[in-house]
Parts: sequence; structure tokens; C-alpha cells
Amino acid sequence: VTVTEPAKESWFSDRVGSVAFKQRLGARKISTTNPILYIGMAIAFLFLLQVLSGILLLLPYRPDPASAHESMVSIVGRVPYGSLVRGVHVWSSQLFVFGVMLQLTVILLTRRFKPPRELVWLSGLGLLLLAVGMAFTGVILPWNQNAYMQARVSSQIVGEAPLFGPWLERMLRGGPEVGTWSLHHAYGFHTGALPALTTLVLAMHVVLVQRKPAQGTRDESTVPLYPDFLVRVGAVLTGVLILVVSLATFTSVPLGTAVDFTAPMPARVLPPWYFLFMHQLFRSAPPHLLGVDSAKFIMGALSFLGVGAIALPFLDRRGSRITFYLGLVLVALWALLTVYAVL
Amino acid sequence: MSDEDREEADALPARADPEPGAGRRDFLGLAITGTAAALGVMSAYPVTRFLQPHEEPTPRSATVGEAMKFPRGSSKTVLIGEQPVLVIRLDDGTFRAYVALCTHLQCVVSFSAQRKQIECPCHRGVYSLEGQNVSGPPPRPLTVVDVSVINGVVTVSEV
Repeated sequence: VTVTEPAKESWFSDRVGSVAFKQRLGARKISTTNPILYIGMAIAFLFLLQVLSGILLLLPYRPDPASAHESMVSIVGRVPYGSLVRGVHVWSSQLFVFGVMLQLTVILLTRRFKPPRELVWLSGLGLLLLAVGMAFTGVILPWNQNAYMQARVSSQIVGEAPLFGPWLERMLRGGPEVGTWSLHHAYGFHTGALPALTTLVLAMHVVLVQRKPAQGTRDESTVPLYPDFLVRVGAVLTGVLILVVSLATFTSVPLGTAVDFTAPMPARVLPPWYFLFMHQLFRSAPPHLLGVDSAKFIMGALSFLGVGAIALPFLDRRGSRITFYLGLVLVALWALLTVYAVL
Repeated sequence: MSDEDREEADALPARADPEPGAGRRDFLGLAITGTAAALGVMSAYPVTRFLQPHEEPTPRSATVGEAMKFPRGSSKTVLIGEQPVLVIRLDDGTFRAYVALCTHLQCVVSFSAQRKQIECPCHRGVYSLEGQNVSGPPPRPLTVVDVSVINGVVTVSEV
């Protein structure tokens, strides 16, 4: 280590300490072959995109049942670049959900959840819940016929869950029925509690990962965090940005028609892609399973699976092969049900 | 603090203590975290109650319209409060009304004039015109709503 001269710092760096910070980052060596680092960075970047586009959308959107849909039509049609901003918001949220799912799958299959990374795994699971929560409450906000149906079914499904189900159902609906308050509740969760919690959990996750980094593959090559690794991350994030902006520009997410209780409902109602597997389970199950309503049974089973995911790093402390095959089966089952649902 | 207490407090470190003041530090730490935890628990109740707004009284009935303008073999969906109700006029001119929520997962059901049945678009549940669950995942029949025709005006009201 060479001792550098303390003088010759720029006015800015002298005040914020940027040169010293860069030197500190440069001293850290990072693996270049570890995929979860890049996925993690992409996830954080997608969240940033959602927050920025979301803050913009707060201005022209009206969270009121009478004018919500109309304001969405206006955002897409009249507000300059409104379609682009909405597109970036929608697609970054879809990729955010996908990224968190991908990350958890990689961690599960490579068994990087095992001690001492229990809290890394748990905060990752929390992020999945928050990501899906944000994406799904976002589906409600255009307040079209599809949103109304999704709000009904999803709150009912939550209500079928054991223990806190009925309490959560009423909280999501804002009353005993899905109605005008439900939109306002979805808006409140979507713009307030959920992004705030996500920021908190994401920050916690980053701190936890710093303390207990994942073990990479054996013959890994390492580079300094600054500038070598950050340049690579920059390239990945540029790719993500190009993907999001392209999707926002070249695809259109339909707005449907405003909620009208007297109009006929759509002939076929499908949930967002990340819930298609549940849709298929609910659709193909008989009315009753083991003496209870099948919906209750399915929610009970999924809750059990959730508890299993939480307990995983405490049960499988060595990262056994059984977990690998079990995870593979679950991923395959999920993909199969998802494909089957759209057929 | 009385003089006796102060004397006692001053006397404490004089004892043969392996780590002077450790007992008091532990006690204060416990007291502060305990108080914070108690405050947290105490605030949980009003917050959980706040998140569950109490029910507002909702109307128990709704006017559908004139019976003359309601064709046979057709349906209308009206709201009683915020609850959708499916009103069907059968081919023989009589009315049937049900809470228009599928007993499976509460999708809004609709009347199919061609197939003479009530259908759920979400998970392909099917009900007969009498509200009985016929096929698909619905576990129970639809909830019946009363229909009355007074002076040619159709009204639905919850049983």
C-alpha cells in the first residue's frame, strides 16, 4: 500500500470525500462470474425505475372510482410522453417481479440460502411478496372491468388463507364489499406502504449481503469493485434500460373499459402471469377437497409451502441435494401450470 | 429522589462488583427496550382497528325498472349498495334474482341467453337458472334475492 499525498484534492472531493470513497471501493475484490450479483443490481435498478416513473404518474392519475379510468386514458393519450412513462412503470414492475423470482430460484437451486445466509434468504422472500403486492395493486388502479374482477377474486382468495386471511381481506377491500373504497385502498398500498417497505427491505437486504456474501464458484476471477466491476454492472443496467424502454415503446398495455356494473363482464378473466399457476389450480380443482371448499384447501396448502420456504434455511442447514431436486420439481410444476392456464 | 435513595445509589459501585455499574446498565437497557416494546405493542391495536373501517349501513333493496321494459329471456345486473345482483326474466315471464357473486371466488357471474344458464367467467363455474351449482368449481348455490313487482316496477331486496 502506497501512501498518497493528502493534498491535490478537488474542491468537491475535499468536501464529500469521493476520492477516498473510490479508493475504498477499489480495494474490494468482487467475483465477475457470480450471476446473483448482476441480477441483484438489475432488481435494484428496476425498483429505482418504478419509483421514478411512479412519482411522475402520481401527478396526472386520479385515485377516484369515477375518474380513475378516464385519467389513465388521458395519461396514455394526451399527457406528453405519458404512454412512455406508463410503459416504463408497467414493464419495470413486470421485470422486477420476474427478477426477484429468478434470483430466488437461482439461490434455491444453488443452495446459497444455507447458514449464515438465513436473513438474506428471508429478506429475499419478503421482497418477492412486496414485488407481487406492488404489481398486483397496480393492476387495480386503471379501474377497468378486469381490475374490478381481479380485486374481487384476489381479495376473496386472500380471505381463504388460514389465520389472518379474513382480516387481510377486509383490509384490502376497505369494507365488507369490493367497491369504491377498494380502489382507494389499492392506491394507498401501491403508492405508500408497499414502496416504503420495499425500500427498507431492499436496503436491509443489501446490508445483509455485504456481511454474508454468497460463495461463488471455485476458480473464480475477481476484479476491484471500482472501477472494473461497476463498469460491468453499468453495462448490464444499460441493457436492462434498453429492454424496458423498448417494451414501453413497442408494446401497448390495454386499458380496457371503465368499471360498469351493469355492462356484461368479460367472457374470460385471467390474472397477471405471476398468478396464472394459482388460476389453474383454482380452475381445475373440484368444488370440495378433503371435506373443505377447494379454494380454502389450495390456500392452506400454499400457505404451508410459504412457511416451508421461510423455514428452509433452518431445516436444510447444509444445502442438501434433496432441496435441489425439490426446487426443480416446484419450478417445473409452476411453469407447467402457468402454460396450461393460458391454453 | 430521597436522601436515602441517593445514599444507596452512591453506595452501589463500592460493592465488590466485577464490572462496576453493569447491573444498573443492564437494568436501564431492559427498561428502555421494554418501554419501547410496550409502546409498540400498544400502538398495534389502534392501527389494526384503523385498517378495518367499520361497516356503513347499506341499502337492502334496489329498483330494477319497469317490468314492461324487461324482455323475457334477458338479464340485468343492478347494485344493492355495492353488491351486484343478477336479475333474470325467464321465458315464462317470471323473475329470478341472485347475488351475482360466484360462490367459488366471488367473480361476477352473468346470464347466458343461448345456453340458458348462469356462468362465471373466471374459473368456468356454471349454475342453473334456479341458482344451483351445476359444474365447475363452485361449492354452493347462488344466494337468492327477493324480487317483487309492484305497480309494474321491479324491485329486488335481500332476504
